[in-house]
Amino acid sequence: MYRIYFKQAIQMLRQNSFISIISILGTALAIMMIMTIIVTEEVKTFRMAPEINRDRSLYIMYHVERDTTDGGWFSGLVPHDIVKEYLSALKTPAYTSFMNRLDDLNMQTTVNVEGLSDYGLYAARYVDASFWKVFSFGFIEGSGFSEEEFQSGIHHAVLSESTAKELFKGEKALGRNIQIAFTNYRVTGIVKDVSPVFKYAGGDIWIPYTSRKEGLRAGYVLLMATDKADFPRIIAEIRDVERKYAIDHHPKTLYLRGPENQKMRTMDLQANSEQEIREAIRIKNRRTVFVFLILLIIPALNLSGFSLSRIRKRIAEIGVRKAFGAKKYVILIQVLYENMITSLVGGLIGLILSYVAITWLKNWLLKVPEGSDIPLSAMLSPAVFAAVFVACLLLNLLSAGLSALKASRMTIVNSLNQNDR
Amino acid sequence: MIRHILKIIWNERKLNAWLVMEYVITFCVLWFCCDYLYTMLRSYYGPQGYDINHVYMINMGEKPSEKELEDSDKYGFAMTFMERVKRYPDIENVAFAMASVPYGGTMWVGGFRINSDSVYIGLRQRHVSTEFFDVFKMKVDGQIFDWTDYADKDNVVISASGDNQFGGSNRDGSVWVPVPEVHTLHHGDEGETNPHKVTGRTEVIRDPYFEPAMSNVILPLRREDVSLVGDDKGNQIVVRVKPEADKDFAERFTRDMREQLFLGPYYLSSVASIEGMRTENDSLWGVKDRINSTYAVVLFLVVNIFLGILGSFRFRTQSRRSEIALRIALGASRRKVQAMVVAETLCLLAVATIAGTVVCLHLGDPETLRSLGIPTVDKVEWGIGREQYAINFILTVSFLALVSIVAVWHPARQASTTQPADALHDE
Repeated sequence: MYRIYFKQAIQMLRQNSFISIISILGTALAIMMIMTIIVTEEVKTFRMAPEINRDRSLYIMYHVERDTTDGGWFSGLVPHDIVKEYLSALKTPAYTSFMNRLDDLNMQTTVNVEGLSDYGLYAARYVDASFWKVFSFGFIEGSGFSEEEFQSGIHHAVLSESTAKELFKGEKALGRNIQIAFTNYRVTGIVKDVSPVFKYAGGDIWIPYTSRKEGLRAGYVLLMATDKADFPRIIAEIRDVERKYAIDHHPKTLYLRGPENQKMRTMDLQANSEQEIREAIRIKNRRTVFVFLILLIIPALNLSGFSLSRIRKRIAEIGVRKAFGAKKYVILIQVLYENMITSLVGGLIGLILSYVAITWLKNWLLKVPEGSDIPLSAMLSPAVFAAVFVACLLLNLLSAGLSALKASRMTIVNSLNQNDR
Repeated sequence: MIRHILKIIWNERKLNAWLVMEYVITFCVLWFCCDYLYTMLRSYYGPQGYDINHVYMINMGEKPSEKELEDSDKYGFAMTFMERVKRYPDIENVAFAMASVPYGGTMWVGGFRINSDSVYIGLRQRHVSTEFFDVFKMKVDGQIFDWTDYADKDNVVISASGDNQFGGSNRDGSVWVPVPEVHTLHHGDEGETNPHKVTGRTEVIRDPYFEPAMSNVILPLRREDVSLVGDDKGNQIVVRVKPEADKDFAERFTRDMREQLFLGPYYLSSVASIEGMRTENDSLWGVKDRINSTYAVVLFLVVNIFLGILGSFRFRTQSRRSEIALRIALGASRRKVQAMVVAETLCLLAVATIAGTVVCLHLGDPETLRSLGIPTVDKVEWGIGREQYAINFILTVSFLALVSIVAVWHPARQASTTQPADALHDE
């Protein structure tokens, strides 16, 4: 029976090709938008070298220090003092890493080969020893530095491949001396280039921040858990730190935003207290629902107009079927089934279009570095197909539900008379 | 003819009601898109209270050295720096500042009391040298302090939040005073000794694009705070470049001045345009993403509406082929029949427009949008008035009318050119 429905549906699509194309296009557009949003969200949390531990990392990017007496406050990156006195003593995280923020044009540092006065500007990442554990760098030569070396403030530097090439004009760089901000360093490692889109790992040069006279005053904190399940305990520990700080520094209070997981990081939440962050998440979720609703309802409204007019043309046929004993639900299912074929064809086209859109807008949507590929598993996972199917089903119900109901309810006499009033 | 058209519409009222509903909804959606895009772009591209064109930030570095510099040494180096940079032919002016430069990444909010009020509220504070106003072309109504003159040390310039109100909030609430009535300010950190006297007022300074503007206190930079490198205090150096010289300035300046700017432990590190910093900042905070995704959603909606209207009306006119043919068979001219079908559609649109306008004027509540996390702009703050409704109305109606006419006219023409006998066969 469904084969007949299928044939009939195809025939219907052929009969009025203009309307068919428009309804398939409408469905495809809606599915494209929805899929682009879903896949984009999916890929953002995907693990990609060197940030391979994204799924078990928590980030603290921002702190607020309030003076409870006059209402003044200071906010910004996490200060070194707080990291040293409080965060490095955290028990649950496997590693706590502290690094500088490096996403500004004016945060570059002078670098020159020892003995040459001509200096160039490079993005220098000031890091600790855990940094090499948290991220996975592709070392071409040499290595990073150990905890002991870090503590002693050793003047060792790791360069990216292209930086080394540029500085030494193709000569061997390992073991050579360079000056970073006019201080001597020895090159002890060369790594494959890391794109600046990696907010925490990217850079041209990596040095221990203890080697700098001023150290690292403020930066990002990355907490890596042994297991994702430890997240609640780590967050509880951070809240304890805040309480302890408030006691130690009365009347000042501290708020460490987050710690945020990778998913929260991609939301770009802005908040100055715990309530604000909860509210911000609630608002984001509400917005997601709202956006999905708009993306479903507007096309559904358009499509329902078409399906209503299409049904009107076939009233007589439905009347005949009913006269020969077709039940209400049979008619209902037939109309929905036929419409579902349009939806699925549209859905498939939409899915393909969404891949095109994602690949085309890769840099804007995903912040995936130029040249690297989007993991295929993110785009072709069963979850994605299930989501397309559900979206099609919803779109189908919204657009054809009304006309199907109407068609199934009409009495035989009225149908045969083509009297739909 | 109008009466005839109305009669036809009434006879098909059930189908037409559906079409009018579709029109009303699409009207509201388009209206909202217009409204949203207009306010968003206006707040993004609108005046910000300062001019960042041809302005550059100069970043200096400090070589490691054994002994700490005295405050007076720092000041001395800064003065030499200023003198040398000012002599560079491309430079119009140089200014020092602390946590003040737009998109500079640092921001200070201090607790202040207004006039004799006893409540401290948070105000954005900027410490600048007098040249700052010139570098950013800020218009000041009143007097600007001379930062090098000790007698001016307590004079400040203020800028209001939108709506000409000055104030801010703390944990317990907020205080707002009309700008002309603000005379003195007490800084929480400095105790009760020295109230700041308000000597000048500048235009509203808008740092965030979509949020309401914050009230600003612009204070003279103190001598002991002057430093060429940005450390904890967020010291900044900005220059205004002559417009005709603003091409490859950063590169040229770095090349020409590198030697001259080796001042004691300091060296020239980098030069960045504020425009470039704004772009960086936008991508960092997702501002560009937000604008792009708004474009994407609006485009999606417009395309959908386009397809929807096109489909519905084309379908409707096509299914009336026999009616059109019958009219022609009975002697109506082709043009007249086409005009009638188009006029009928526009009649429906007119009905929907009235309903849609009523709905839109009463909906559009910014609070609902904010609770959905859609950034909206305070229209009053931006001085967006009723003219916006006119813009929304004209754009929305003309788009809908255009699409409808295209959708109806083509099948109507087709129908009117077929032989009446052919068309009547369908019955």
